Amino acid sequence: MPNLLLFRFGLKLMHLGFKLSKNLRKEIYNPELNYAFNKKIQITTRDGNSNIFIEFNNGKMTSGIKKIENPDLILVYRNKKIMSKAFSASADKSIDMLLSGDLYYIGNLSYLSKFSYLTTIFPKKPKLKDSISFPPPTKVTAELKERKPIQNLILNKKVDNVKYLEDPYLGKYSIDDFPWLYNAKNKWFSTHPYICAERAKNVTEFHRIYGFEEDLKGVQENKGEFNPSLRQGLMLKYILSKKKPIILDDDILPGTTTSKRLGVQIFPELGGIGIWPELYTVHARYLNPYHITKEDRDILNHYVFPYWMDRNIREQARKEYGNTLSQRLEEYFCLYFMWKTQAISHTIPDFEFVLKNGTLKIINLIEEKINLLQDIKAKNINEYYDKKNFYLGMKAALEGVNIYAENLEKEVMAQFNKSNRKEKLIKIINSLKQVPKYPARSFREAITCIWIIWLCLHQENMNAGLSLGRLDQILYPYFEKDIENLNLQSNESNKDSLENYIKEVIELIGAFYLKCQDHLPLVPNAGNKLFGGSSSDQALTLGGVTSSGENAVNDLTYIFLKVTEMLGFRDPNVNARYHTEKNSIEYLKRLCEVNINTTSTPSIHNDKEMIETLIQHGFKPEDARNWAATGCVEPTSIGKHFGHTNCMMFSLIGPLEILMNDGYHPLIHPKINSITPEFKSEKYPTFEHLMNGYYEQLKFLIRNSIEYNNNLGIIHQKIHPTPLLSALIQGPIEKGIDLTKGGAVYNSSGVALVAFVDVVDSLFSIKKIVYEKKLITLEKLKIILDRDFYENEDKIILEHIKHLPKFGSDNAEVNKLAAELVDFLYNEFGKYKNYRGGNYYIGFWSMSYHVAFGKLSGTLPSGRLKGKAFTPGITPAPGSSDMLIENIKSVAKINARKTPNNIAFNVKLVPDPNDSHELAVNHFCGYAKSYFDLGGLQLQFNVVTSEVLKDAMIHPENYRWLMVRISGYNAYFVTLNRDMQIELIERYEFHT
Amino acid sequence: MINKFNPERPLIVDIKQNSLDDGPGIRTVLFLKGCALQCVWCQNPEAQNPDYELIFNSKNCIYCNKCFINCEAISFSFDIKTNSKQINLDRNICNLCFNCVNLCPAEVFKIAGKYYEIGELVELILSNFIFYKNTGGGITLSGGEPLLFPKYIKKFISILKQKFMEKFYYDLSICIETAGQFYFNDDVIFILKNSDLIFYDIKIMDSSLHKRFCGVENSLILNNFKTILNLDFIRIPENISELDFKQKNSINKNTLLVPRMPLIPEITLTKENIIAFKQFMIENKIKIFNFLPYNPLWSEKSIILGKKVLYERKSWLSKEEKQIINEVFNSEDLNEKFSILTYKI
Repeated sequence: MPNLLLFRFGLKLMHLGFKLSKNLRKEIYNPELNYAFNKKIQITTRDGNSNIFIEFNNGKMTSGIKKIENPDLILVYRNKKIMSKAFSASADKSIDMLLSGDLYYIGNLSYLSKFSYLTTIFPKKPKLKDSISFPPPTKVTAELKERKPIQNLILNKKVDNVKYLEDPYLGKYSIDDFPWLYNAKNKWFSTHPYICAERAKNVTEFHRIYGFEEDLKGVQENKGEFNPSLRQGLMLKYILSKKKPIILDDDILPGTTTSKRLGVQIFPELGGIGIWPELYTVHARYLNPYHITKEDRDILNHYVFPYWMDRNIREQARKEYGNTLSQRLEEYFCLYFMWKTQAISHTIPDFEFVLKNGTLKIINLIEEKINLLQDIKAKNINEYYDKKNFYLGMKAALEGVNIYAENLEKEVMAQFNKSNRKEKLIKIINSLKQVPKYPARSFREAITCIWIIWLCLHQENMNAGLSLGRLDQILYPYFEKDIENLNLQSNESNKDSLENYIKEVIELIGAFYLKCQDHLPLVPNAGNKLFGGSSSDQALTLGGVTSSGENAVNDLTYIFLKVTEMLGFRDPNVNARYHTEKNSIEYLKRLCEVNINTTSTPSIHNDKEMIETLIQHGFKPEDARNWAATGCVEPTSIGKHFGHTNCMMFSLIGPLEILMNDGYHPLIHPKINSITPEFKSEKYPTFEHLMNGYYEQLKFLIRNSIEYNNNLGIIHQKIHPTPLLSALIQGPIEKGIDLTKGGAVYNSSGVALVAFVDVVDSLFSIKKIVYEKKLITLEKLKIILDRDFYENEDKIILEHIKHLPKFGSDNAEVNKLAAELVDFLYNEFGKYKNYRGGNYYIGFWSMSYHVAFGKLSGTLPSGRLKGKAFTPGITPAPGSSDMLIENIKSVAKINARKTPNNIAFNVKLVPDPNDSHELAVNHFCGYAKSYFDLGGLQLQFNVVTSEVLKDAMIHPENYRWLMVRISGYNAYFVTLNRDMQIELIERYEFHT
Repeated sequence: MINKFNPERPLIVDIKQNSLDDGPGIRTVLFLKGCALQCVWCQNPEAQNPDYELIFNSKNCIYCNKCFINCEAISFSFDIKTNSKQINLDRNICNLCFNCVNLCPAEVFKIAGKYYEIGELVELILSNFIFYKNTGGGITLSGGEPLLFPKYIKKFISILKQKFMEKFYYDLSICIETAGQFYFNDDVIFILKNSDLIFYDIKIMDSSLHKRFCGVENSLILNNFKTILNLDFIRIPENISELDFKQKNSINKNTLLVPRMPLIPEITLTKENIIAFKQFMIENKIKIFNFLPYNPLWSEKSIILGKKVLYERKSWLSKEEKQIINEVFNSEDLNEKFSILTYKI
């Protein structure tokens, strides 16, 4: 019999530790900071027979073996055996327990983080040692030499709207022509990330001084609750003023997102507390280790996290709405995931507005609005205060931006005298004198302004898919103006000056790409285990048509493509709009060439179909044409649309598993619902009955996920509105309403549906095997799935399943089932409104959640085994067809009008080594063009063989540059977890 | 089901919808079943015999015994001595009832050969229109020997071309891959005239060696080649860009002819043979031709058809072997006189 002696012994030690060591006691009782971790924790088993309690009270810890009243946190283990091992389990193991359903919790997740942290410092605090998992940084030059040399076609013909480039392909340049970029690229690949506590510290400091719930300093005109917009605005001003202005030795754009060269920002008010248990281990973890200084660790541990334990979004939602079923279901990880617990930044700001006006003019605009409020004052005093506080918050946030820019200017000045690169610094100083306060006048000023605004936005919200929009369009007027100023005539020296100017623009854009990579999103180890390798997914969109419908591909489009090709970075995530009627075929060819050369970018979109889909969903034609990809692939109408386009990742397999398990989920305890009959033949006499059962479960989870998303949205309104972002999107200034409250012109929410192909293949398999061929009954099927096709007789069934047509074989019957399911999902999500009064739009892409959800799901009727990844986005399963055109035809048949949040279709396609470069490009282009002509919405190639990927798995040190496209975003292959790497290797490899 | 050789009712062994190697662009390739040659290295052995054949790939077997129990002719047996679970097939007893094919869950058995109604093929090919249009692709008739079935093919391509015209106002490109061992008639001429490109295999220049390795002498093949060359609608392409059909929008008057040689080590890929081939090209004023490198994967296909493997060669072409080509066609030849068309060499 397992017993709990060891567990209790561990607790005894802990108790002694707190009693004897003042230093340790500080962890739970810190009068200096007015902090006491006074919580009661109950540890129990599912059957409720084994109980341990722990109670912390002003630095004292007691424990015992009984049930207690009103615990703050309950940890429930599957059984006594698992519980008995729990105390000695490593942090890693504890995560596994949580993911496998061996352990679940009821109550506040921050308390669990805190408690997990406490268990890591016993019996003594781990010593800091260097990461053992990754080779020491060296120059990647040698590695890059191993790559197949990049080949370039030359066009020598002005196509699309190109005015200045003689060869729009810029085929003669390579990164060797840009030594500065070359060195910066090398440096980036050999820089280790550090956790940066600067922002977290300043945010906490602000709130400790000025208050969170209450306005401690009386800064607000009205009495009562601290207006959240005003509070957030003042907070931003505070932290931006205190933010260290940094110009690194090699910078040509000023400022950094964090205080480190490559920093990981912490947002304790969002999901930052998740890193608490890892403060002593994060530098040594296997995947994506971050360094952390002792100073930063202590700040987070003692000063920051304690303040936010009950004040973060997730816990505020729990407090406000009770521990709802909809919230608890999310916290099992395997059904749906809500991005609002981490960030709401999946949108695109209106840079054009800032570039044209400058921040000072925007502040003026806001002040005018405040003056106009006097009219409301008499009528509705509450509305008056709400709006006034909102405007004041916005104004403060923008003032913060200006102060930060001034500080940057001072910093460059201070560096100037000692510097040996004065020429470059002068350019930075001149830009900073103008932007962001005043309108930009040149390309350099414009891109400097965008960068400063960009990094300031990252101080307000975690950068999870905040996207750049159409920089080739927005920057073009400045590019043109610069060239006009060159005063070109047709002689040779002027040709040189044009060439020099274009090289300068290439370098500036390259610098901007590098800057976009100067920070990483915080990923706790559980996140690494589930997905990992994701960056912030800052999408950049190129090409397509203008808002009036003309060809928008211009010189800058091609210059951006050149930079993308030369750098081969995962960020920004480059998305190209290709309009089948307006853009040239040479442009599509170039997109394919860049994709071949970078292995995985850009992803290519069908502009015509996307625009028509958006128009059908209520966007004005000119706004629909001004769409850009957000995060991964999702469309946002730039500057007018707050679409939180990745509000949730939703597993379509979850409902199927609940159906097959009679209302239970294998990883979840207790039973979830009883809305469908038991999974028995007599209850589901026909396939229609089964489909109805699936739809019922689907409806149930859709309803719950939306309820939770809406709850979280309201919590964001209450505690985390976004004054800065609101100032940069059209609507909020006009209406006096924050973005999170529906201030934007368009207010949708975007859903990502994961495992569509797996569910179609599974349902189709049941249809054939159980209902048509009648090879086995439903009961038998369930038995076979539960034992993962282990027995010999199961293998026969598995073979039958393998030879069924799949989604991707272009089989009419499967296509019909897929279309039905798309219709159902579209209509069902369409029934709900979000908390801002907008609609829910569905899309089929998966970021990395096809791996995460797959890891947490059992064996499926499609033949996919337990724990294996689902297929990414809407990509047919490997083996569905060995003919790429069948895959293409199947995916192109998905009705684009029903997927307004876009799709991600991955194709692993490798040029035949004997093909010439041009022939390979032509083949890619032929497939892409045909797919778009058939109405396909989005396409992304991975141009790498499984052989190379396998080699990279074994020798990661040789492949730091190797970029792959997951589902909508890019990642460096070597930073991915094993499951994800295997998923990429197992993708079907087509050849030209 | 029983077919045998029927010139009006050919079987098809495979439809490759996605070929980039059988002519320009993305092409749908139909492999017709039946060939008058018996080349020892045949890359598509399943396409030699015009009749149905049983493919038996015991590697896939999961030992369910369904074939054993349900075979009409009792052609399966176990090796009692070794007590192995492995099942054996006696092709002499097998009467092609194909029960095993229908019952096997594991694709151990397959029928080589399927008859398609012309309408069925036309539908499939129509659905690929956009791929052809965007890449200058189309269909390729291969085999086996497609010109063994002139009546069927004539009807097929007439309907196909007409449908493409009606539906898309598009002149579908048709490419023929022939081994040359066929008899001329009006239908053949019609087919050649309505094609855009003919890949004409010339294998061994020495007739006795040809008989030894391919089963027949090469006289008919070489004569047919000359006959085709003299047809008024045939054109010898001057440079490779003529083979790009992407810009093809009007109805093509001419049919291009491109000779092709499979490079089989020690059989066709000998210095003597390549020299003779070069001489033949010069005599006939041909500038563009195609070499097909040896692919060793065919022998696996022969084994599962129950055929004896007469030519043992398991590896791909070596560098030294490829060098033979360069010795015969020096760089001057290639720069000025000839262009080797490289769909994969």
